[in-house]
Amino acid sequence: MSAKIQARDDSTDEVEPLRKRKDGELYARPAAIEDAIAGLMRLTKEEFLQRIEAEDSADRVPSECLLYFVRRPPFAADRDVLRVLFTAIRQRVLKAVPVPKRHIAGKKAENSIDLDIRDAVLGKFQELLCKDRQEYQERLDFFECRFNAGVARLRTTARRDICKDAAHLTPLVHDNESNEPHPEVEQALSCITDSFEGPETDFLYRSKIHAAISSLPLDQRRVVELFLKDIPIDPQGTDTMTMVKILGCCEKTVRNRLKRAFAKLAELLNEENA
Amino acid sequence: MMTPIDKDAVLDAFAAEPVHDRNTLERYVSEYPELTEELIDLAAELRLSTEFAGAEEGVINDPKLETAWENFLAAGPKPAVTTAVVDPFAQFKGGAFATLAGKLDVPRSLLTAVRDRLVVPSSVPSGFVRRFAEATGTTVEAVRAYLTRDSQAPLGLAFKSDQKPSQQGRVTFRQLVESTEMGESQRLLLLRECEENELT
Repeated sequence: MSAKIQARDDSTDEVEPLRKRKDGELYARPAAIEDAIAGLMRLTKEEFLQRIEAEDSADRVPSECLLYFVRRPPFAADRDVLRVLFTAIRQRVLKAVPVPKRHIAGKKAENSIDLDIRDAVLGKFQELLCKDRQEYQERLDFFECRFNAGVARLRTTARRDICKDAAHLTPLVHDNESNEPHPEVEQALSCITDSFEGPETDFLYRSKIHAAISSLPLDQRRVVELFLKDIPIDPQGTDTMTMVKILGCCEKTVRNRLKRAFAKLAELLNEENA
Repeated sequence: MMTPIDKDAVLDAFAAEPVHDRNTLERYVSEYPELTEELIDLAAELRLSTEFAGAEEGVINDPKLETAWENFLAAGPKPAVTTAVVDPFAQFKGGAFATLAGKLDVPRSLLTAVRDRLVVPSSVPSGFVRRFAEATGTTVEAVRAYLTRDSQAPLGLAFKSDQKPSQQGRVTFRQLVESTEMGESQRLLLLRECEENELT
C-alpha cells in the first residue's frame, strides 16, 4: 500500500496538512479554510451534501474546501458524495474562468477565445485531478490555499497557447501612423484602472470593457495592462519603471502597440454601442 | 537560467500576493526580468478574477462532465486499496453509535463486536453488510475490507486485566446473534440473513 493512500485514511478527524514547500516551509491553508474543512468533517453525510450543494453565497463552501474533499474523499470514498464534489469543483473552475459578455446588436456574445480558454483550463485541471488520484500532485496544494489564483495561473498558460495558435490565423495589419487618438477608449479604460477613485461603474459596462481587452492579441493586451496599472510609456530623465523598460522594446513600438490596441478597443466598444 | 520549479514558485508567489497593483508588479519585474511577460499576463488574469470570478450565477453548461467523471474514477486507486484503510465507524461515535444501532435494529453490544472485528468476516451475512453499508454511507466492499482486518481489543481493557492482553478468538455472526440479548423479531431477521449467507 502506498504511503500516499495511507496518509489519506479518512478515519482520522484531523485536517490533513499540505505537502508542497516554499522556502523549506510547508504550504499552509488560510486559517478560515482549515476551520471550514474541520467543520465539514464533523457533519453527517446528509448535512455534508446539503452544504456542498448550497448555492446561497452566504453558505457556499469555499472552493478550497471542495478541492480538499475531492482529493481526500470522505465517508469511505462514497461514490455518490464524490460525484457531487466532483461536479461542484468543475463548476467552480468554470466560474473562475470568466467569459465576459459583450452585447452586439442587442444580443449577448461571447468571445470564442475566452470560451477556448475556459475549455483548456478545465481540461488541465481535470488532468491534474486524475494524476493526483495516482500520485500526490503538489501543484494542487496551491489551489487548496488560493483556488482562484491557481485557476488564474492556468488561464495565463491557456491564453498564451491559444493566442499563439490564433496569431497564425490573424491577417497582418500594417501600422497606421496616422491613427487618431481615442479619448473614448481612455475614458472607458480609466474606470477599471487601479487608481480609479470615481463612483463604481455598472458591472455590465466593465464586463464589456474586459471582454474587449480579452480579445486583443497578447502584445497589445500587455501594454493595456501596463496602462491600467498607470505605468508610463517612457518619460525621459526619470528612474521610474516604464513600459519601455519593462517590455524591453523601443518607445515607438510601445506607442504603436498601444495605438493599435486602442483602435481595436474603440472598434469593439463602438460595435457594442451600435 | 531559471529552473521550471523556480518559475512556478515565483508565479505562485505573485498570484498569492494580497494586491497586484503597480508596486507589486514593478517589484516582481525588477527581481525576475526574465518572467516579465508571464507576470504581466498573470496580472491581467488576476484582474479578471477579482472582477468576475464567481459572478456568473446558476449552473454553467459542462458537456464533458460524464466523460471527465469516468476518467476521474478510472484514474483512481483500486477499490481494494482504498477500502482497506477505511473505518466505517469513524463518523459514528457516542450518540451517533447508538443511533446507528437503532437504525440497524440491532443491540449495541452486537454492533460493538462488529466494530471491534470480533466476528469471523465470512460469517457476516451479505444482507447485514449491505444494510450496514447503506446506514454508514460506505460501500459493501469497504465494510468487507474493514471486517477482514485484524481484530482490535479496546485499549482500556489492557490496563484492567491482570494478565497480558491477547487477541480474542473470533466468533461467527450466528453465534453472536444467538448469544446476545435482543428481541425475537430482531433475532429472527438476523438468523434468516445468516441462513441465506450459509446457503450461498
